[in-house]
Amino acid sequence: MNKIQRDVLNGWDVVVVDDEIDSLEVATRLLKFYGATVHTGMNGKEGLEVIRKVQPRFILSDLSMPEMDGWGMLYELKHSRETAAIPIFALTAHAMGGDRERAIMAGFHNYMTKPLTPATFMQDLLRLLSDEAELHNLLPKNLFVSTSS
Amino acid sequence: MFYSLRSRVSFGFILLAVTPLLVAGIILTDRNFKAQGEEAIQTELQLVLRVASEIENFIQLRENELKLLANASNVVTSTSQFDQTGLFDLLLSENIYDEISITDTAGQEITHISRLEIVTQADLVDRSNESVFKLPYETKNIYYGPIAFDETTGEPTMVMSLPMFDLRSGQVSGILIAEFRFRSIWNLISELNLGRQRSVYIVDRLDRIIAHPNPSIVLREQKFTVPSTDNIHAGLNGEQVVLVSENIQLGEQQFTVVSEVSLDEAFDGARSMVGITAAILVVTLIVAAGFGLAAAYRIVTPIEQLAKTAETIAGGDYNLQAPVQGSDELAKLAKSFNRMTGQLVQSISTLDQKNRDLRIATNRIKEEARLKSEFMATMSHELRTPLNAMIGFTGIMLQGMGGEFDDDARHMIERIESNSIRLRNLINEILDLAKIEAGRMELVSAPFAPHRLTQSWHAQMEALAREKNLEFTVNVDPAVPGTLVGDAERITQIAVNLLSNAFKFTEKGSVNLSVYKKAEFLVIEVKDTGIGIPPHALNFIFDEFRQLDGSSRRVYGGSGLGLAIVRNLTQMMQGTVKVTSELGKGSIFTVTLPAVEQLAETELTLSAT
Repeated sequence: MNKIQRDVLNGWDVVVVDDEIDSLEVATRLLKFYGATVHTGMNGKEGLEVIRKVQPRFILSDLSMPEMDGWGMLYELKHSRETAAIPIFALTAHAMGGDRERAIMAGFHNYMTKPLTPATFMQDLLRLLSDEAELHNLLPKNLFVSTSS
Repeated sequence: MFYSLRSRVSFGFILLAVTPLLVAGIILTDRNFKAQGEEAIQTELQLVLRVASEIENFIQLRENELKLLANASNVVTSTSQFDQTGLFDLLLSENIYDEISITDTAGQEITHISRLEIVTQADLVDRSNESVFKLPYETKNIYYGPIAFDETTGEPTMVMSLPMFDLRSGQVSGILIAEFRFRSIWNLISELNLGRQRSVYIVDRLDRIIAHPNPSIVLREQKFTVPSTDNIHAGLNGEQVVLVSENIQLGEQQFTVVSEVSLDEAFDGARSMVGITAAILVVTLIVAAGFGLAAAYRIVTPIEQLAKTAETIAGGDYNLQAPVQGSDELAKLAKSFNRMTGQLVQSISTLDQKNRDLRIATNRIKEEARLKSEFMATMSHELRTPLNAMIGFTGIMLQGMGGEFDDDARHMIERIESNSIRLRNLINEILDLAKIEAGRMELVSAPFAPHRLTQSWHAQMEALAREKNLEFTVNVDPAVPGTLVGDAERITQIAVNLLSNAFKFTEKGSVNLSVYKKAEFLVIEVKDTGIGIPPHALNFIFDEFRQLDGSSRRVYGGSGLGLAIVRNLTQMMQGTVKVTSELGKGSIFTVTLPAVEQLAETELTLSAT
C-alpha cells in the first residue's frame, strides 16, 4: 500500500467542531499527523467564533451538538459573506439513514462517516478535498510516498 | 297506497264488513227479483184467467140469449109478418147487438134488423153461400164467426149464428144470425178494476188487437204477436213488460187475452228492496270505515310512536323512552322496547368505558414504544461514542501516528483494538436486531452498482482470507445488471455477515462468493469448505443466540446474532435465505433477493424534476 506524504496538509488551517472530546482529539491527531494546524470548537457557537477568527481552509463538523448544532452553524456560515465559501464537511453517524442526504441537501459540501477510521482517514479526506476545486489546487502533486516492501 | 299498515287495516275492516253484506245483498236481491217476477206473472195470470172467463161468460150469455130468442121465434114463414118484437127487444136492450137477421132454410134472409140503419124488405139478401149460414145449418150447432171491423165505425164486430129448431118436428127451421160489437167486451175489461200500469187486451187469431182499454189502438187495427210464454217480453209499445196471456177457444175462433204490467209496477217491491239494501250497504261502509280507521289508528299509532322513538334513539338520545299506553300487546311491545334500550344504554356505556380504558392502554403502549425508540436512539449513540473513541485512539497509535512504543505495548494495544471492535460489532448487531424487530428499521431505496459492491466485499474480506490462508474466490455473473435499486448498505451487511461466518468456520480450503441473476432475482451465494452444520441444527441456525454448542462459540467466536440479522434483513427485503450443509464438508448459504432494476415511473419523473 502506498502511504500518503506526511506534509500533505502543511500550513493548512483546519477547524473541527464536535461536542465529543474524544472524537475531537482523534480527528485533531489525524489531521495534525498530516501537517495541518487544527483549531477546535465544542459546539456550533464556539465553532462560529473560531471559524470567523481563523478563516480555515476547510471545516469538519459534527451534526448533533448542544447550544447550536451543525445545521445551525452551517446556516450562519452560509449567510455570512466572509464564511460562505469555506468548504464544510459533515461528520455523519453511521446508523441513521438519510442523515447524509440531508446533510448534502442542507448545504454541506460532503460528508465523512463517523467513526473516523485512522487507517483510511487520509484517503477518504483526500477524495473530498479533490472534489473541491480551490482545495484541489492546494494539494501537492505527489501525494503518495512509495513504500518499499 | 297499500304499503301502510294503517290503510291495510282500514281497508281490511271495510272489506270484511262490506263483502258479506254485498254478497248476501246480491243474492237476496236476485232472489227477490225472481220471486217478484214469478209473483207478478201469477198475479197477471189470475187476472187474465179472470178476464178470459168473463169473456167466456159473456159469450155464453149471448149464446143463451140467442138460443132463447131462436126458440121464441119459432115461426118461420115466408110471410113478412114476422114478429120482430123479440128481435128488437134484444137489439135495443143492451146496446150489444148491431144486426140481427133470420134466414130460412135456403139461406134467404127473411128478417133483418139493424141498429145502425134502416133495413127494408128490399135489403134482405141471400146468405146461402156464407159460412155464417152454411155452418150452423150443416152442423146444427152454434157458429162463431171471425172478428170483422165495422166499415162505418171501424170497431171490431163478431158474428154468431145458430140454427132454429121447429118445436114440433125438431128440424131446422131457420138460422138466426147476430152481429155484435166487441166494444162491450172492451167495457167489460175497463170495468174490471185495473191499475194504471197494467193493460189487458185481447188479440185475435190474426194477431189483431180487438179489445184494448185505449180505443184508438183497436180502431187503428194494430197488430201484435203474442209471445207464447208468460214472462218478461217486449210489450205492445215495445217496452219490456211482464206479459201473461191466456187463450179462449170459441168454436174455430181463438182469442188471446193478454195482460201487460210495467216492470216498475211488477218489480216495485223488489226495487225498493234494492234501494234499502244499497242504503244498508252504504251505511255499513261508512260505519265500517269509521271503525276501520279507528282500529287502524289504535293499532298503528303506538307502532308509529315506537318507530319514532327508535329513530330518535338511533339519532343519539339513548335515554328516550317509548310511551306505554294501556296493557295490551302493543303496550307490552313498548315496555320490552324500553327494557331493550335500557340494556343498550348500559352496554354502550360499558363499551364506552372499555374504549376509554383501551385508549388509555393504547396510548400508554404507544408512549412506551416511543420511549423505547428514544432510548434506543440515545443508547445507540451513547454506546457507540466511547467505543469509537477507543477504536480511534488505538487505530491512531497502531498507524504510527501517535508516538512510539515497544512490541509489548503494541501487542496490548492490538488486543485493546480487537476487543473494542468486537464489542462495537456486537452492539451494532444488537441494536440492528432490536430495530428490525421493533419495526423501526427503514430500508433505503437507491440505485447501486452490484458489481462494484461485490468488489468492495472482496476487498473487505481479502485480509481475513490471507490471515487464515484460505482461498477466496469471487464470481459475478455478467448477466447481473449494472444498476439495481435497493439498500446497498443492508445488502452489504448480509453479504459480510455470511462471509464472516464462512471464514470463521473454515480452517482449510476455500470460501467462494457468487453473485448471479436468476429470473427476476439477485442471488448471493457463499460456499465454504468448513466444518459444516449438523442436520438437526439447520432448522434453528437462523435463530438468535443459537450456537452449535457452547464449545463452538468459544472456538469460533461470534455472538450468534449474525445469521438472525441476515434472515431478518432478507425477509424485510421480500427475499429468502437458505442453507445446505454437510458435516465436515462445508456449507452453502443462498440469499435470494428481488432484483429491482429501476424506480417506478412516477418516482423517476419526480427525481428528474
